[in-house]
Order: sequence, then structure tokens, then C-alpha cells
Amino acid sequence: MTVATTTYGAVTDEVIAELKRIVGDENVLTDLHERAMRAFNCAPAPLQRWADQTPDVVVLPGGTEDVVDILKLANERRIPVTPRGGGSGLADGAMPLRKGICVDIKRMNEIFEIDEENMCATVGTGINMLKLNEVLEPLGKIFPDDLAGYANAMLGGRIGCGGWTLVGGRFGHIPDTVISMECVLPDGQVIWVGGGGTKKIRKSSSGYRLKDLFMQHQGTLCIVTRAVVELYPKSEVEFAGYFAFDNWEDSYQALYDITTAGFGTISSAMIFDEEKIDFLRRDDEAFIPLPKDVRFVNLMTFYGKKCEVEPAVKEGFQIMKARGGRYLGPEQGEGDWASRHDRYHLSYHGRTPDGQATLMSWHCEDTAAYHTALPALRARFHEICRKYMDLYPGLFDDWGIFIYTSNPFKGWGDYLIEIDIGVAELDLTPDSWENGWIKMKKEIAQAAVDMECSVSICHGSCREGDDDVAMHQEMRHGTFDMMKKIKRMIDPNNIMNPGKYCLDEAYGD
Amino acid sequence: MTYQLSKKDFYAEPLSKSKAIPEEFVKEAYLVFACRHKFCRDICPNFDITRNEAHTSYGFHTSILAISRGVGEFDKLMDNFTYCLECGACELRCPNTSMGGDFYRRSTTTLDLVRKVRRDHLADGGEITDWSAVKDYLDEHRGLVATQDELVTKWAEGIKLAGDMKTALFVDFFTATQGTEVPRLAAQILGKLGVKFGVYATPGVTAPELLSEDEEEWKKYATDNVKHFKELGIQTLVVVNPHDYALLIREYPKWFDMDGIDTVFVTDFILEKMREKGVAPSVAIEGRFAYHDPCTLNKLVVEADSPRDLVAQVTGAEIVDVPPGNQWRYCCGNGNGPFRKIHEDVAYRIGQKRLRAAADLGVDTILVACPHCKDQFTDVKTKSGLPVEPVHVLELVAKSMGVDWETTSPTIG
Repeated sequence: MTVATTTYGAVTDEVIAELKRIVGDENVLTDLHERAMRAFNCAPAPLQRWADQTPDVVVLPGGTEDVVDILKLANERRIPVTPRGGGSGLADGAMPLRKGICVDIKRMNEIFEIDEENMCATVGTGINMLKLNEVLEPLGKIFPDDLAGYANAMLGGRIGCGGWTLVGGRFGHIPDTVISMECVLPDGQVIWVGGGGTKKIRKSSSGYRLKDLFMQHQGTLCIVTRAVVELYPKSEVEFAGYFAFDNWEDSYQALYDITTAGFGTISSAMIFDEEKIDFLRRDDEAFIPLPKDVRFVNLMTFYGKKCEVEPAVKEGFQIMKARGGRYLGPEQGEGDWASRHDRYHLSYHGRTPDGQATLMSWHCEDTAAYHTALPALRARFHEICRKYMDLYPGLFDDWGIFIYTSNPFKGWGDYLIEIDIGVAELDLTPDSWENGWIKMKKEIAQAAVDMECSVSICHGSCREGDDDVAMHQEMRHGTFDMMKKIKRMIDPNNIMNPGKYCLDEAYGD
Repeated sequence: MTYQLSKKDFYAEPLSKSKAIPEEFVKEAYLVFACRHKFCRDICPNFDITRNEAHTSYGFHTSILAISRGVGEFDKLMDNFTYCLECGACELRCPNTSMGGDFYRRSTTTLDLVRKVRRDHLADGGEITDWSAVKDYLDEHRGLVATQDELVTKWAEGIKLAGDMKTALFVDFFTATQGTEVPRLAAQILGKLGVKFGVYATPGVTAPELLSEDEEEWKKYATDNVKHFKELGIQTLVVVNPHDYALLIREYPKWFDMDGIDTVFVTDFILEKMREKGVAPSVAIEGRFAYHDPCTLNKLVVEADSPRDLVAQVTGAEIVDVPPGNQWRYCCGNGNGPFRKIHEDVAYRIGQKRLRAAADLGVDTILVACPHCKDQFTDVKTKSGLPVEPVHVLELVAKSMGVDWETTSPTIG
């Protein structure tokens, strides 16, 4: 049994007036257009449901006290609350499935402290990583959260999805680089969670490690208002080298060799598979042309001190060459790596089979896999995608696969295997959404779980098509049952981002 | 030069509260919505203050798409659409422009969109809150048309003009009446450099605000201008206001044949003449200065070098500000259209943030290359008390060349 939406309280004029008292008139948005643009986030969306998930009101709190008062009000009146950061997530975390109040955290972008001696900064969670790094750069420091949405995502959303970064192999990911954080619970209680009970200690053995509980909660437990984040010295050298391979086996083995060689400075290693290279070749205006015999491309990046990176790069070259890799030169290295945040957001990347440009939106699945699962998953993902391309001609397209290192602070073990899918989103109908798009996603998620892998490495598995497989199969060994207990305990009225992670099931008989 | 940008013929079709959004507009809106990474949002100087993404390129395009899906109404758009500064940062930062260029004729043209939506709304009988201030400003300029050639005699009082129209100074109404130091300084510097030039005295209403009210009227003045340029045999048009410069090289080529007319911004032209004649400013002016890139130069036409290079000609003068690419996020707060006239408070906060960034550099002067920036910063300085004085680049150069413009400045009634 799930909580019916009718049990939620309405956003009445009285509620609006109270919200205005809390955050000020100008920070309560009731205009339909201002609300409607907060209905979706970054992934292909069910445009046909736009009105159904447009929040009733948007509030922009200025700090923790505002959030406390908003949540107390919402809890008292059982009004759904959906926190929203940059709206750049790919798992629908910021989609207000039950309408209600959208708490847009963008005004909470203050830098409270930069503690250079202890190499950390205390910030509001409405801050964007690029903006933070603009302030840190003159100090020779960096917050190393390097994601596709680097220029627009916000820390709160990154915490909400337990974010992953391109250079996590060297610096760690969001669960590692966020030291502690301030959480406002649905009843207005404010708690700081970290390694132990203090704000700047990374490793502690005191008590439960609650930081991990409030990481990647997708807004279902609390709103994170402040965080202490890790600072690193800015790397003296950042090297990106691309190598061409003419077959999968050598490319795959080269990935293994480079990630297990024991480099301390390796930041990432990647494979662009054959379908990805084919797709990029279609994309004539933004890709540096590669010779025809290039079928797979491997990338290795090293960040750190010059005295560490230079010899590591030299040895890395030897490893790649030993597997038949051919260095593609500095232009490819610098150009492609420099455009890593930008290049996949151009909707005219879409191509019909005969090469004509067509309007498609980019989507990527983000399976977490171990090394030996990669070949089978790669084949299976392409197979699933091709099946739905045949079933719905012109609606979907296989844009190839990336494989990235994913284990924090080391290259080996875990990988992100990402199939990119072009979606003709404007042409989707309710039928092709349900029976095409969602079923395809579900099959991809199922393929991952069948291989004992995880549905999501970075976006979160609360998206339609993913959530059912993730919660009921991947988390079947008691984890989902425990999640439901925790959810019910912390959020007894189910106001926090209801409808996500199948957590409505927590409120059954 | 011209700055190639998509001219989308489908923009000719009016949008209206009584009609469905045309298919091409749906695609246009979707292109920005579908990116969803919102680089346009976080580069927007207005968003930087209000933190409301409804006021960004993403917001504008998403609203259009939402209407096409039955969510929202065309005549309710205005409360957000007036928040566009028309600075162009979003267009530059959008992957549709930065990665696709104009390959698909689908560069993001936010300025064209917001201007079109405003004027279609007005043509539809709609109202825009506080538009009266914009209308008053345009009416004031319309009122100047009948006697526009007399303006020159006022702002150029005491300056000898050679009258050779092969090279003509283009002086718009704002500069001719409120920013008179700029054409005076330009004229005196050019005179000192021995350049023969005339003044184009009949620009009509060129204010970009007019593009948000009546495009046909704006085009009527522009048509007259192009006709006159050719009749007068103008070969080089030296533009003193970057707002007009952006219009001349971005908008005019969409509608008119500008072949044979070299449109140059005043700092570029002065620099070129200095180099050509081997003349450099001789009086040293020691100082560290902030420099504010006008949005209309740095973002709308991506020209940022010449004001900096001109300052570099002045012995002892040093610019210590961030480079042009890092100034995309800045605006003085005036914007390139009606913004400041409607949202005075937000305009002030944007300007205050920019002046504070200059103050943080430890300077007491911010150089500008735009009369609107100077006007706005002067206002912000007075209200905020921030200890940074706005000074036009030409004033610095003039002083270094021994031109004392203040002593010959006319009084404009």
C-alpha cells in the first residue's frame, strides 16, 4: 500500500503567506512559468506529464534557518517537499512527482570559510563547483569535483546523488570529498554528520558513520544546507593522453594494465568503444578526425606534481604501446579533454542512419561494474539498445559506450560503463515512453543486476525504469527493507521527495 | 566586420496568446531545454544576483516549450522576459553555439527571442510592467529625430571637424546627449592624430530598446542609415557607442547589404591610426586600473582587445583585471536594452557586485569603453560609496596625448 496523494495537504494561500513570511516575498515563486521550469531535470523527461509534476510553489531559502521553518511548515501540513539544486541530475531526483513545495537551494551559495591550514572549506550547498574553484584558484587550491555538469551542478545535488567525478581515481568522489554536512530533517531538526561527530575530521571511529546515510538520499530524508569539503593543492601538471586501438581485446587489456600498474597519480582511464567512435565520426563539427583504422580509443590522465606525473606518463606510454596502442598526439589530448564538460549537450548530435542531423536528446546509463563484467555488459547494452531502435525506428539511437575508472583513489576494480542513447524526446508518445524508453532502461538495469553489478554509479537509481530493479533486486539482501525503516523513522509523514526510490512502500500496513 | 549569427526566418511569424506555438519555435525552445546543463544559467549576471533560473536563457526557452505542451500562457511570460540583460553571455556559453557554431543555423539567439516575445506581446495588446520608462526613453529619442543634425553642433562645440565623410564618426542619440564626453574625446584624439573625418549626423533612433517594441520602426531608421551611408560615400564608419557597434555588425547584415562600409569600433580605429602614423600617447600616467569589458563588445561581437591595447599604449598604465573570457559573467547592470529602466534595484546590485570585484583588486579606477557602463557605474558608485571611479578609456588616452577635453566641454541643455 502506498500513500495516496490525496492525503497530502494543499498549498493554500495561507501556506504561501507563511512561506513569504519565512523567506521574503521575492523568494516565493507562484508564477506558473517559474514553477513549470522546475518540473524536470537533466534527463529525457515525460513531457506529457509536465502539468502533473509542476510544483505548487517554489521557495528560495537564504540559509539553514529558512529551511528549518519551511520544513516545519511542510511537515505540519503534510505538504510534499522536493529539494532542487542545479537541476542537472540524470536520475530525476529534483522532479516533484507529488507537486507541493520545491525548495530551490540556489541562494544558499555562500562560502563561509576557507581553512587553508586544514585544507577544507565550509560552503552553502547552493554553490557550484566552478564558482568555488574560481575563488580557490588564487590560493593554489582546488575542490576536485570534475563532472559533466561542472559549470552548473550544485553541491547539494551532488550530495543528493552521491556524485562521481571524472578524476575520482586520484581525488575520490563526492562521498569522499565531502567531509561533513549539515542536514535539516523533516521536523526541522538540524544535525551535522561527518566521519564522527565533528565538522572537519575525516576519519573517526566515534559512533555510527551517519555521513554515509545522508549521502545519495536524493532528497528523501533531509535537505543538506552546508558542507565542509576537501581541498587539494592544485595539480602542477594535468596530462591527458589518447591512444588508438584496432580491437576490443587490446583496448580492454590496456585498460587493465594501466589501472593495475600501481600509479599514484593516475586520475582516470577510459575506453571509447567502437560504437562511440562511429558516433563521433558522424558528429562532424565537434570531433577531431581520427584515421579510419581507429576502432577503440583509450584515455589515461595523470594529475599531480611534475616530478610524479612525468615519469608516470612515460611508463604509461610504454604500457599502452605494449598492447598495440598508438598515441594520438597532444591536439587530441588537450582538445578532447578540454571539451569534456561541454560536448554532449548539443542536441544536433543526433544522426539518422543515413547521416542526416536530427534533433535528439542525450541520455546516458551509468552502470557500476567490476572489470571482468565489462565485455559482457558492453555487448548486452548494445544489443538492448539495437532492439529498441528496431522497435521504434527514429526514436532511439546508439551513441556508443564509455568505460571509466570509478574506484576512488585507485584505478582498478570498479568501472562506470555508460551507454549513451539518443532520444527523439519531442516525438515520444505515452506508448513509446512506457513501452520503449522505460522498458529499455529497465532491461539495461536488469542486465547490470544479473551480472551482480549496480544500476547506478553516479546519477542515482531513483529514476523510472531503474528504481524498481534497483530497490527490489539489487538491494534485495535486506538493504531496501532497512531503507524503508529509516525513511519511516526520519520522515513519518513521507513529505521528503515522495515517490522516489520506491519508498512509498515504507508506509504500507 | 560582421558577426555571423543565425537569422531565423521563422522569427517573422508573430507569437500570440491566441495561437499555438509554431513548430519551428518548439524546436528552437527544445534545443536549449534539451541541453539541460544550463551553462547559460550560471554565466548569466542577472542569475548571479537573483538566483532565479526563470530569468535565464534556459528559463525563457523552457517557458516557450512548456506553453507548447499546454503549461503556461504566452501573455504571462513578461514578468520573466524583462529580466534579460541582453548581454549575450548565454548565447556564447550555449553548446548550440559554442560546439555547433552556426553549422545548423541553430545558434542560440536569446536576444532575438526575448526581443521578439516582448514586441509580439505588445503588438498583441499586452502590457509590460514598468514599460512606461522604456517608452518615455524611446519617445525622447523619437523627439530628437526632427532636429538630430543640430545635436552635433552641441556636443562638438569648439571642435573643428574636417567634414570628410569617407571616414565618419557614428554618434547615437544617447551618446550625443548624455555621454557627450565620448564623441568629444574621440573627435579630439582623431584630430590630434591628423585623421580627417566627418560626423554622421542623422542616425535616427538606434536604441536596442526599440527592437523590443517595434522592429519595423527600428528597421526604418536602419534602412535610412544604410541609404545615407552609401549616398555620403562613407567607407569607414567609426562607432563610439558599443551598443550601436554591436547592432551595426550583428543586426544590420541580417537585413542590409553593408558591403563597402567598414564598421570599426572607436578604440580599434584610434589604435590603428596610432600604429599607422607611428604616434603614441606621450604623457605617462602611472596607475593600476581595473577594466570592465562592455558586454556589447566582449560578448555580443567577441572583440575585447583594442580597449586593452589602447591602454597599453599609455606609459605607466596597467590593467590588472581578469581576462575577457572571465568577464562573460560580468555586466555593469545597465544591460543592452530595457533592463535597467525596469529593474533598477537588480541593475544596481549587479553593478555593485562588479564594482566590488574591481575594488577587491586594490584599484581606485575602473576603465570602461562604453558610455552606458560609465553612466551606470557612476550611479552605482554614488549609491554604494564604493571607492572606485569609472573612467572612459578615451579619457585616459586623451590625457596621455595632451588633450584636455574638460576645458572645452560644451553645456548640453
